[in-house]
Amino acid sequence: MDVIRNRRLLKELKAFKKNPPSNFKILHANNIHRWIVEMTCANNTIYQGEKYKLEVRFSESYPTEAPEVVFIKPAPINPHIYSNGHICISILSIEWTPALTTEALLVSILSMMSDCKKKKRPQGDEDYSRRAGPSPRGTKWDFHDGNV
Amino acid sequence: MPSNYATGPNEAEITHNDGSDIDMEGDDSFLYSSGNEGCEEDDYLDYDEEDDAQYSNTRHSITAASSQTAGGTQLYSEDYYEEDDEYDYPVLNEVGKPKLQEILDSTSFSFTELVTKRQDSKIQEISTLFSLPIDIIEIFLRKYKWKHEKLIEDYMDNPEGTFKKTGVPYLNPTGPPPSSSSSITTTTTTISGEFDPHLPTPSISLKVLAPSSNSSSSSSTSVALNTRRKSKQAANSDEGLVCQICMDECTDENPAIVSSQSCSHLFCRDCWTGYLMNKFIEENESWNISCPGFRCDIPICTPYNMSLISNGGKNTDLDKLYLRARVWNYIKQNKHIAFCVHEGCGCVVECNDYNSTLQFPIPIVTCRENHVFCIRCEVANTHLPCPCYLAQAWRDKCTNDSETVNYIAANTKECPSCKETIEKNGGCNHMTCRKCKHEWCWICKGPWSEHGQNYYNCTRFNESESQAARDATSESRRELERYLHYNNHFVNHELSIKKTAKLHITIKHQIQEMQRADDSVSFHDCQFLTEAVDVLRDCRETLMWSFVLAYYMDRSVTGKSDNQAEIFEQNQVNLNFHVEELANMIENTKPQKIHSLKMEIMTKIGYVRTRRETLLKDTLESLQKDVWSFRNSDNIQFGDGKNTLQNIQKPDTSAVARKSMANASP
Repeated sequence: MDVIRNRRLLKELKAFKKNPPSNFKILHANNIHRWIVEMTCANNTIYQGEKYKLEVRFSESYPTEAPEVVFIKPAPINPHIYSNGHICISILSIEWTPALTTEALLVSILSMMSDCKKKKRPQGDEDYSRRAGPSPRGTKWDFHDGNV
Repeated sequence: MPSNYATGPNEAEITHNDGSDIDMEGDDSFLYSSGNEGCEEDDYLDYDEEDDAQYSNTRHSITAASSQTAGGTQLYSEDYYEEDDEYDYPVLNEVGKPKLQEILDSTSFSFTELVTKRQDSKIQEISTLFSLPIDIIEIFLRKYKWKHEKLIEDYMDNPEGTFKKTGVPYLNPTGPPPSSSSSITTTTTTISGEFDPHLPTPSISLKVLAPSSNSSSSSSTSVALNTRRKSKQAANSDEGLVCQICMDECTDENPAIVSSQSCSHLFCRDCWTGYLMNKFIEENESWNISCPGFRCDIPICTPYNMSLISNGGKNTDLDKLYLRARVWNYIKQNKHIAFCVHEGCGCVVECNDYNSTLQFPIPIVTCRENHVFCIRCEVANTHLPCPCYLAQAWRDKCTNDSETVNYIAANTKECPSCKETIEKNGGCNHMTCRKCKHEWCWICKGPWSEHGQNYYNCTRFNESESQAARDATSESRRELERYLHYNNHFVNHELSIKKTAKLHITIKHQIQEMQRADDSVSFHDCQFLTEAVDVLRDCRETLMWSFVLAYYMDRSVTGKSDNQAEIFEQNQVNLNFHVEELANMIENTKPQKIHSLKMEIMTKIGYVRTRRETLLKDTLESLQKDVWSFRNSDNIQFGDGKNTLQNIQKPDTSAVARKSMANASP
């Protein structure tokens, strides 16, 4: 398991360095299983000019299992992002397939934020942030639609 | 036994012995032995040298950045980096995931053959009928839950619709069905045979692409497919094919396999194996696995594809897991086949006349290990003579609220005016209802206005107003008491049954004692006692559930059925009486005397046994004639006859139902 994960992560990291996707920068990946990525929000969106940090953790079963992606506090204000940094996006759980890459994940998160029209926290944010553990994997997510 | 409920043993009932046909010990390392471990080390080193400087720069600049914002909100502190390895993020994949070896060990491979044979013959039959490849038929059947009649009907009406419904790319049936091989381990010859251009290529089939143009074709598979690749994808031949999962180039040993013509997602054999193993182990499904491509719904799992991925059966673990998932799928989807519900029992039981017993809803089966259970409820032990839906309703009721109901009955009264349940936790008898402001006396339930100053003594219990008020409230209270009455009976018998094991031991001791006291008493002479305990147990079980039936029986609606109900109740009372007598005989008699009571006990056993059979037979007949109506008070969904049965579905234990979802908030 570990061999596959490491080999693939190295490849991804190299590709990321070679052709960094616009809006993303890897700040820190000395531990290859845990990256810190900086996201610059897209122009012409309500988040224009803002920068956020994401933590990406790769479990042993990566790429069979999706990595954990959370915002490092303070998390952006968005109806799909909780104030503890957890992100509710289907591609991180049920829609993940090993054929996706971390880059694709990050771009999806950015595009989800870019679609947002109004800054607000999700329903029950306070409650959830207090209750939830550090890992979003403990949460059973329920996905509705992207139009909120 | 009456013939209208089914008892095993039946033909598909095969017990798992010891799994000796699987020999896989010490084979754990097969999983990802791609043989490239050395390479990984190198990559690591290279990478460090290249990028270390860059990293430290980055780190530096960040530190600077965060200190700039120090006045406002600090984004994250510098220690965040330092405590890198100590940082206590949750350990993943440690807990709760089944181990491969455990799964294989716990699977009985002896009955799989039988089930597989049945699956294959059905697939073959329909394949010939539709002139379609067996792989497509297999996917059809899975989506149709192995209801072949429904599939044939639908397909005859609207073939394209069937393809659409099942997610298989449309394929025009032409020519004879390819590959008559119905076995899982398709040989290499048949694989290349499938690619004969004269035969229709199943559009859901995987295709192996050889890695490079000058590859020395190692197997006949590659030969057949090499030509195909050359004609089709000559443009790509220079670059080599890169697996989308591990991002490595594919090699001869680890060739690229394409999902389907329509989606052309490409992965190497090792990654396919890893992906499928993960699905089999964690989700235990074989029918719902689609191409690993993002949002790609092409179904993958077919015998042909599996043999391609496992390299013609060389990866035995994968094959076994697939076989297991395939068989489980079949068993779970077929209502008349089930795993024995008793813990640790690996039997599979088939209820052959499930359909005929549908007329009467208690399909009780016995497995080879003599475990008895209801194949529809999938709950251990029988619930004769209670139909499944009533039994289910009762179980729900008991788990939901029996304790609450007990408390309410013991500690509360209802307001005589608005029927609100009220608990008196102190003070005098003068109650004022919070809800309707009615003032009443706790003792006699009459209106308080009559009581005057008698706060702690009620002398008006028999006055007419008090009487009337009590009558009114008793209506709803009676319901509760009724439930408690039957529940009490039920629980009592249940407890006695639980003590049966203990009773067996006591009996054993008694027999030993008797033998010690009197040499002429043989072991055989004492077997009647053991028999008595067994009969007692069976009778108690029947009685237990007959009380449930009695609880749900609605005497007020049907005048015509009164006679039958009366007979039922008489039978019940009679059996109950004699069962208790028998129990008394066994439990409360001194060992020395028991032997002299032998004749008496034997007669009792015989009598009780016939009473039980009479009760069952009678009740079943009445149920079949549909002479009773049952109360709807617990909102049980049932109509008459067959509808009743369809409402009570077999509990669906299949893996998580997937919903199609977009990203959004929870």
